[in-house]
Amino acid sequence: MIPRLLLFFAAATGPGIHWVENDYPKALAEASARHVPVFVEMWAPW
Amino acid sequence: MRASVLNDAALVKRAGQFAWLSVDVDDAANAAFVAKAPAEGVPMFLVIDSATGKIALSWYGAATAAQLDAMLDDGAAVIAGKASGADAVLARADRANAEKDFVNAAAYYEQALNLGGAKWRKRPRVLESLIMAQSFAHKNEDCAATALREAPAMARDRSLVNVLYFGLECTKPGTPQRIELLKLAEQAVKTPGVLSDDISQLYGEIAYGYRAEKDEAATSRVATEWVAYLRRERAKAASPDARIGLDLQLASAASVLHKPEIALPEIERDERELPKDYNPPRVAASLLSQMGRLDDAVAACSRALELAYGAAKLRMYGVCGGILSRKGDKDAAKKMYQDGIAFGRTLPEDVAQPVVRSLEAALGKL
Repeated sequence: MIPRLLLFFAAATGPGIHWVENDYPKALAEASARHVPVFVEMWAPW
Repeated sequence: MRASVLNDAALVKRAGQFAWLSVDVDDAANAAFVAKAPAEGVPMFLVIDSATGKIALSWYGAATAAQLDAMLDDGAAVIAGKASGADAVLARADRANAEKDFVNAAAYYEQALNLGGAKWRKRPRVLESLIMAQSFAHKNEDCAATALREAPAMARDRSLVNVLYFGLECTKPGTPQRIELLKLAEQAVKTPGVLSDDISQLYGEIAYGYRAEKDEAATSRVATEWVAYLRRERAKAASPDARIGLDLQLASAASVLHKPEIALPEIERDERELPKDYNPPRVAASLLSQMGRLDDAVAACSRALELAYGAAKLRMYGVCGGILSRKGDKDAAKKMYQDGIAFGRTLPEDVAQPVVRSLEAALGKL
């Protein structure tokens, strides 16, 4: 499907939420250690 | 969204309940993850069970903070497996949807809606999930029927806008269903309080829809409204990051109107304000090409190529090759396509193969 949106995503780190950037194994390891799920935002720079 | 929705207090207060991962699908470093979780488009949101690595819930498209908040609950419910009644069927639907089993997902979403009833608080979100699953399963008649059946009674909110968007995508030009949905969608774009991305994409769907109906008067009327809407939203945008998303859509609206020049000043300003972003020169190249300023379009293409990476850069080779070909510079177009094919071979095959094939086809036509 053609991407529906032409979003632009700003800088990576927001207050309160620590975002792991482009590193699924790291996020999964962090989640496993804390026994929580992983929330994933998939995006493109266009 | 990151600048606004994803930093909303409703999500920030849940920071400790999840690990938060951001994945740029164009970055070749993410090829393994994208292969694990191929996206129907972007943005796409997932909730993954860290104990099994399985995707529990997926959501395609923009969402409000409240919707994302509810999504976190629903994803956690799938993982916990303790829901009952309509929520239990919804969890099965979300699981099937996350596994790309869209046929069964749609069936489960319908079951959940029947069990939940007309006043179920999750009904709007489940209707969105249902129509997306029907669309992705290529059940176009079911998808159109869902939109026609549900839209007239839905509250005027983001869910209605999304249901109409997919309903229009599912209907064929020249059908009474398409005409009825176009009328409903023209009312829905006036819905207050909906993300501008959602309203804008519905405007685009309506404009392209009327064009497919060969109704140029309606196409022009809607595209003109679309431009005015984007300019109003742009006036409220507080930063270059907030403006550029609107400006990229403005370029689309201008193209529908066959007036690419009306979007060029904004795009040129974006390029000055965001000099590391490849999108402004990419879109400038398209606008300039439409305006017949092919030398300027080639120059903009070169700037975009310098800034782009991964799959986006690969696509740019095709855009630039097309402009060079239109300009009549076959040798430069040939080299552009060849460079693109060579670059594509440096990327993971899953990411590159479809684009490389299109570059090879374009090369063959020169």
